Amino acid sequence: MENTINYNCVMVVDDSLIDRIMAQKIMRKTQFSNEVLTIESAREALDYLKSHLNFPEKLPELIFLDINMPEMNGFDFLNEYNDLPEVIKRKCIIVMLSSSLHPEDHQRALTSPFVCEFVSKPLNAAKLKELLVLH
Amino acid sequence: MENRINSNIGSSQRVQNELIENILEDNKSDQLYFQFNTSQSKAHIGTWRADLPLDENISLFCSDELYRILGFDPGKTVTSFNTLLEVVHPDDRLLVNERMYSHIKAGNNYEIPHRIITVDGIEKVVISSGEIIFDEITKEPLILIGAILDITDRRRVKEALEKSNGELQLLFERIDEVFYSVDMERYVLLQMSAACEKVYGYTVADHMQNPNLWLDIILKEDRNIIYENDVPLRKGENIVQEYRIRHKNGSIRWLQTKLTPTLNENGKLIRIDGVNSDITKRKDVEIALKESEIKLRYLIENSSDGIAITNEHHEFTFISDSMTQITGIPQDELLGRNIFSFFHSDDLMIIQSLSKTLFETPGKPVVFLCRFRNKMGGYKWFECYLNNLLHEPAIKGFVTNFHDITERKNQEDALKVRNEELKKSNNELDRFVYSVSHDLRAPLASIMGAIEFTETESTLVEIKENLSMMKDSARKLDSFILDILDYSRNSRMDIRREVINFKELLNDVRNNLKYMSSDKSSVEIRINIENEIPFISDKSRISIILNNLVSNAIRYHDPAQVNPYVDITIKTNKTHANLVVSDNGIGINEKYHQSIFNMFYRVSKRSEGSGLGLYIVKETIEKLQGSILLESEPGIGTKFSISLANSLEI
Repeated sequence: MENTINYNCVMVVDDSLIDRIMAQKIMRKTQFSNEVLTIESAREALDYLKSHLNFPEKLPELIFLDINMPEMNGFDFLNEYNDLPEVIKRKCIIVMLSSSLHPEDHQRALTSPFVCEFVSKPLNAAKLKELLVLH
Repeated sequence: MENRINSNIGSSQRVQNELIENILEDNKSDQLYFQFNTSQSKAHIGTWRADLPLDENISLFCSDELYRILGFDPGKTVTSFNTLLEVVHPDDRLLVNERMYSHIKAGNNYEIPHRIITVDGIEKVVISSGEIIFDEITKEPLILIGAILDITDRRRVKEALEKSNGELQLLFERIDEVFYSVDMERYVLLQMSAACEKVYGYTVADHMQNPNLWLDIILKEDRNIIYENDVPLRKGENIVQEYRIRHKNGSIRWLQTKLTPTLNENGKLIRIDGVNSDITKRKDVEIALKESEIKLRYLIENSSDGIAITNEHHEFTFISDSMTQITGIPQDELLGRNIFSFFHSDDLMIIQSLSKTLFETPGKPVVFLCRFRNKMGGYKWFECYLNNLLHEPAIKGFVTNFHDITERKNQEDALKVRNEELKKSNNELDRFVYSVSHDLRAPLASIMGAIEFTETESTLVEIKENLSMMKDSARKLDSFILDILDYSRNSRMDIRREVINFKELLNDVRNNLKYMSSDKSSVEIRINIENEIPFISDKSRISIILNNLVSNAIRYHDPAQVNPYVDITIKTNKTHANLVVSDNGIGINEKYHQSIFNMFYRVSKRSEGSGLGLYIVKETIEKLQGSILLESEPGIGTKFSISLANSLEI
């Protein structure tokens, strides 16, 4: 694993700067993905996806989505994501990433057809390793 | 009666004699003869005449009526004195013969009642009489004039009369009422029927002896009834009065008296006819009825419930005083009004929806809550019991009990509002705790992420050591936050019942513990589930219990043990689940057993947790109404046995 690139492109949507930086560092180090897109807000993430509709190679295979974010939280993102074209939805797999322990959050996240995993923060090498099976 | 008949015969015979004389003088007078015949026929008297001395075989002069009485065709049969003797009833014949001859011989008139058998065989009762006419000069007996008076019909009437008199007498004596007449001029009891003894216990003779007896035995407190009625009685008015007497046997009886006064031409009371009857039984029933009515009325009027009756058009026909009290609306403002006009319009639908049930099950009350208008125009809440008693002749309507529940309703409403508020603030608090905890945990997670990453980057031992300490502190803080969360979740959240999948639940527990410090991950987690019967309880609470116990077992494992383990055995049955968490860890000294479930209690400096874990376990088990048992010995291990009720039946 250490020597092979696993994903071509993943996206991390998190309002926390440290978390974005750490995610990027860990992913680089573990060569989890060739490219790591870190995005500060759900709105920008949606904009990115929409603007890359015609460049599928630029669309992330995995999206790490934080739940608690200002303005537009993870669930709001999922609602709008639902309306995106099939091309995007087929390509992208969403992993919920949160320190929330609210059982409702957990359940709600997993009921979304686009979410395949719920990962509690902090992200570390071991957790990433488990996600490789999705590839 | 006998005398009258005889005198009739006497006088008729005189008339007859005269007639006969006339006939002798002028027997051609048809008119006279006709009259003679008619009067004989009406009087049922037949006559005959024989010359004396008597020759029994010589034909006699007989009147037409005589032939009829004897059953002959008038004039067709030759009638001799012998013929007359032959028709006499055989049983009477000897006596009649004897007496007749002896009278004739002695020259005496006679009158003999006897029976005859007519030619057609009919038995008749007659009186035969004879009168001898003497020669005025020689004083010799000349002519015997006889008469036969048919008294059969009279006798029959008399017999019937006697029979019916006898029956009347019997009736009179058997009847329970006392009939009596009083001569008020002389104040004398004229007559009194035998029932007197039954009614008073005193005989007629007792009353005759003491004309005041009837008054003496009337109870003193009832005598004024007699005195009051004396005035109208003397004016000639019929009186009906009821009063009590003391019977001869000492018992008190109710009497009803009906008096009919008779006044003379001067308006003076001269006679009273009365009927007294014993009405004790009726009176007792009446009094009992009255008492029960009074009792009922008392109950109705003193009830805190209002009671109303409405007819088939839903108009009030009866209102209890209590109804007026609780609504403040006077009876006359309710009577005749439609009950629906007093209900709150929002409640009419509910009431109308009940009408079907009401009509289908008469006699069975339907219960509903509604608002009823009061005097001030406001509304009061009532719990109503509405009963269809249209079929009851005494009611012929709907009976409604109004139970004022305004206060209860207000309290209920206030309670509901407060409950809602509490629920809301509880939810808000819950949400708040989670948000805060998230906000606390998120940066903590970032710190841990950064530490972990740096650990892998750095090769310097000292830095690694420092980072490890930082990580332990951060983790401790995190588990402290989690404990507080668990505590708040347990104390405020309602119990949610669902089927517990222990396998899944323990998997989650195992996953949660996976990232505990690496040197402790060597503790083997053994899971043993015998869960054949579905177990229903609160999943998140059971999760809290097991998380804490298993993490304690890992945290306090015995490093000296070759095979450190924690064993989780779960057995369920219909009523309970037994969860046993045992380990071969360091164990707990018995002196701490009492205290380890206390809040913030930590056994030693070695204790790593917040001191909340076992407290939360205990609290959570209490919430689920279960029990926990601790067995532990230092150096050997610890065993927690938990019993939780299965909510399968609920």
